[in-house]
Amino acid sequence: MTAVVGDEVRDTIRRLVALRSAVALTEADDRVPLGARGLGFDSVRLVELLLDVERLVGAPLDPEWLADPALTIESLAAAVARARR
Amino acid sequence: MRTAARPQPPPTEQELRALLPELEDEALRAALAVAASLPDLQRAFAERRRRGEVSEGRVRLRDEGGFSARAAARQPMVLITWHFGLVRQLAPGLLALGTDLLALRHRPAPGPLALREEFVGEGVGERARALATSIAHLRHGGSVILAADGPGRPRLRVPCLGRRLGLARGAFALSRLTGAPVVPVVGLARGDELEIVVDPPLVAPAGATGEELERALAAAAAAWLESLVRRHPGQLLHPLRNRLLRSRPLRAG
Repeated sequence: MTAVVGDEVRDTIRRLVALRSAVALTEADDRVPLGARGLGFDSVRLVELLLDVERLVGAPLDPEWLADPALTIESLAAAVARARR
Repeated sequence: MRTAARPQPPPTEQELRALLPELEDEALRAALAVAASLPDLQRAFAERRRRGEVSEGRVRLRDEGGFSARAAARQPMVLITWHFGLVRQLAPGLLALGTDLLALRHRPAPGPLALREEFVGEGVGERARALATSIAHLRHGGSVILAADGPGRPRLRVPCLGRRLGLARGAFALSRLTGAPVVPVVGLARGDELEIVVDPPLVAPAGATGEELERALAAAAAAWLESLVRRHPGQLLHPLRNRLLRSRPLRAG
């Protein structure tokens, strides 16, 4: 059950990232960094993504997550899943 | 540990004439005199703070746009300022006036320990964290103060003093994302006092959204800066002065 919930969260975050970056993404992109070394999100777009995810989970999320230079769809989904437990 | 601030070189006659070619000789002399007095005044304020002395008696507020009422009602504001006048005393001065303030900085500066600060790092993620922390503070009814001419990579080019001035998006993105108004504020040296001048919120065209809204707010901020420089040229500090001098002139026509 936890794995299914985790997949749903990751799929949804992937859709949100795709919307923000205007490119189609697959599971293969889940480990690509969101920032400069990967999908090229700047600071404002990262914050917009965090706000999107907050609306998804219905609660404020830790801004500290954004500081991780290796932040990916997978790591963000894992953080969200932990926060929801 | 808070590090001591380095004194900033005052503007030269050549620099002021380059930025304000129409400045008359008498106004130029007055500006240079004010500029020469700033470093000592900055040191005096810093020393009083270091000794733990209360400075309210030397701080006065000129509220031109309903700032006090907004702050009392805990309506969030994005306060933008510039490297101008007594900029390092501005956040502590606002704090002393009871403002619930979060200061975004790129490096430590001397200040009261009670001042909440968020450091904007070099990386994209660190900058994003600072923005997200600011949003949380605004959501709780607090205000955020940051310099519109901070060292972040300038993304918005807007006219100012006949040049194309580059500004970072941060303040304008915060306003767009939260709905909090952008309120310009400056700390001016008036004799040996700090005068905090808070002007009305910046206005963007009705219906502007997204990056168009950010650009409109940035243009309004630059227009406010131009007005400020024309009125108080001697209080234009080194980082902003350099940025303006290095900015490309607007093309004629």
